[in-house]
Amino acid sequence: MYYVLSLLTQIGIYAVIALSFNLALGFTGIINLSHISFLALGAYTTAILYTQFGMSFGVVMVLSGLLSGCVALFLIYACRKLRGDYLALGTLSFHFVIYSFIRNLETITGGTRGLIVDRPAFINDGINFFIMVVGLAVVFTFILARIVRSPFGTLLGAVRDDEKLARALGKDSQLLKVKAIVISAFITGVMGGVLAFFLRYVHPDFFFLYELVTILTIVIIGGLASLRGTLIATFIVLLIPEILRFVALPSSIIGPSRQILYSIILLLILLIHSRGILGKVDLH
Amino acid sequence: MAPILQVAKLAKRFGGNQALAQVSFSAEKSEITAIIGPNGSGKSTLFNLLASTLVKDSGTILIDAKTVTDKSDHILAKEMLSRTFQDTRIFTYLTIRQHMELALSTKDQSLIKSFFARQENNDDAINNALNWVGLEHDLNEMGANLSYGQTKLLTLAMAIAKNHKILLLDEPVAGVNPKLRKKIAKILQKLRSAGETILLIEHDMDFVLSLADKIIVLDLGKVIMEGTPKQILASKNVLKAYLGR
Amino acid sequence: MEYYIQFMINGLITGSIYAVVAAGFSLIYNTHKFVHFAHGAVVMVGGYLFHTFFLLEWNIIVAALMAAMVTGGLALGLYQLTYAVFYKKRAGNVILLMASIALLLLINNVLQLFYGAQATVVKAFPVTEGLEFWGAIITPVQIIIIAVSLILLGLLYILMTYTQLGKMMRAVADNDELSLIIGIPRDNVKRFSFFIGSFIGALGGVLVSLQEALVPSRGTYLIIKGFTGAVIGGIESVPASIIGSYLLGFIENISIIYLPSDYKITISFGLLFLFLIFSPGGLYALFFKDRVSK
Repeated sequence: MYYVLSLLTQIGIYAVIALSFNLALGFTGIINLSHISFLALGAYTTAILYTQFGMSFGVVMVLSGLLSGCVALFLIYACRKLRGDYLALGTLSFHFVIYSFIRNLETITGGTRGLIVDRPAFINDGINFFIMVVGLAVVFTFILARIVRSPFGTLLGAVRDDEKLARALGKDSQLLKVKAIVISAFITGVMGGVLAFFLRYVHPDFFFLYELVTILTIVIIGGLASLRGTLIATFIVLLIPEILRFVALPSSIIGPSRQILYSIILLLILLIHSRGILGKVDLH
Repeated sequence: MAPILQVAKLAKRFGGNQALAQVSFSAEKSEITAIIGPNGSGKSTLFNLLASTLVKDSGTILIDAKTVTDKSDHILAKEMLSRTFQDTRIFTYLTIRQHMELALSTKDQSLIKSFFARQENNDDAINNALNWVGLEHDLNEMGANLSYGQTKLLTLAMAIAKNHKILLLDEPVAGVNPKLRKKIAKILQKLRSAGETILLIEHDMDFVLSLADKIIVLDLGKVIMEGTPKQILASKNVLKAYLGR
Repeated sequence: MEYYIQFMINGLITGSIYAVVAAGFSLIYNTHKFVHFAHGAVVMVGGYLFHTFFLLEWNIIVAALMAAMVTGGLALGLYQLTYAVFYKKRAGNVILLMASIALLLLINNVLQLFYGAQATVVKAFPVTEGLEFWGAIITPVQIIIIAVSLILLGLLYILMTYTQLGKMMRAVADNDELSLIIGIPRDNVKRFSFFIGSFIGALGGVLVSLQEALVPSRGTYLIIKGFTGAVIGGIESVPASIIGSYLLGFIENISIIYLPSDYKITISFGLLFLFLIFSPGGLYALFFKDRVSK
């Protein structure tokens, strides 16, 4: 029971992270490979402010989102001249920068020792935690669905499809990109806080390339610019490696096998059907 | 009345290449003004300077007697200019309806308002704009599925529907079959009678001569002649530059 | 003063390894025009295979060359299974980048399955006392690393400049479409350059294994360092990439004088980000831009 609950909670958290990633990548066309760094920023903000400074839960959540949002604002501004794979590389290298800061700023982040995170009493129980995650997932999914179906969502699609044409129609494409990525980063930052509470521990290596590949796999399997696809894919991608658990393998084999599975799935979907299950848009 | 568009001593240099040198001309309201010239004469540079997608080195551009050269491209587009592109551009994964909604709306950039706004039904406005170009098609068709001719008409419809004072058309009939060419010529005439100011670049000499009220001939970044189609036809200079004879 | 010389020597050693990694990477980049992140994992495969062959008591040079050959072959196999298929489908660079990140993790974790996450030590040379140069210490193994990388890069230079194959690779790098039109067997040249790039990368892995214990995840860092070196120098040019990598080695080691040694990695990641934002073409583009374009 505990196992199922924890797995479902994890799916809830990852679903929101992946949905907000899709807002930037699929709906707006920003190839942002530093998404996991926003998650890390949220997780560490929460770990530090809640456990060490004793700030209240709500404030910590909002600040986690805001910090990620501000950093995203800086990133998109710094990368404003990059397009295509150079944008991907610029954001990826930014992800490395954040990662290395978290590793190195030992006095604040605990470096490679990581940080223990206390859970607030009201979500200490697994069921309560799960209910909170479901609540957040429903709220964020609703907000994202509303955004992408609104005229604002159409504008994002215009920026994705042809930025020059969007500008010729009088749309401030740069501002639109900023808005999209800040929303995406804010939600991810909040979920980073939730993840920190869920794991009760944060470590720099939770936020490296592996997590990026997991999220990429979810979004590509589900399909770009499809929220429903991302939701379905989160279940598929997080449940598949659970099969490994029942084969009674030692954990030293399960760890790498999981990663091998994800990389192979991502490669296969890119090779065979890069539009994913419900994708509406192709990667360029 | 002063001309709606006044360009004075506009200059632009790329490295060692003077793309435009001291270009001055004007365009009158409710007229079709055409800019012609051989490849490399600076037509595209001029268009990009007008649309502010390039930054001029010197000179002034006045629209409605107001200088516009310090405005960024999307603001200029929002306030006064509609343009089409030479390489026909389209939003691949948006429907025709969404294309037109983007062109028609001016206030949808606000996230919060957009978030709480009710879905508006502006089919009438959309159909009205599409009627101008005679594009009859299912509004839910995606951009990717349109033919070349249909995309030409759709981008023209967007430019017309969008709030503007001047229409900039970049080679409206390039790569278009004779039937569609005739259709586009008719659309432009209709627009002019409705009071539209049109500025266009075109390679097709016959098209320009039959349509334009005023023609400006560019060569090597300079205006070498300006006049009515009749005057241009009569001038041997121009034909020499244009046809290379 | 001695202090500085020591850091310069350390920079030269680090730079040598980065340069070998970057040389292979940049060669592949230039003939294929996409970022082959999995190169880092290929480097580690070279190191680990060397370890295995060495345990079989093969001669050290034979073990190194065989490791590089086998790694090159394996890399080429993966190339055929993945990248070549993407090419056929005309997939965009972003897809290739994602695929290469997936490949990097795939190979990393396969290595971990075979060799474990713990450090694997290759005792190719007995630990000897270092030699002293002007007060700085350098071990014989480190001299070998510097010398081997210089020889390797020299051989690559000769291959690229004086052989028919090298000229074909440069033609493909210069203009993919045109090279096909003038009758160069483009696809085979690409395959060959991928093999050579991986071969060189694998020897980089061998050099790494001489100096430090092997860990599968090291490949990720190595490719980021190699990539950073290439971007600093100028990814469009193999020699510039190599120079950039030596520079990175020096910068990292000199930075230790002023910052805690953990910040090495922050510095190279930060440099990578700054260069991508301000001068994606690297120092090469900064200095030669006018001559290259317009």
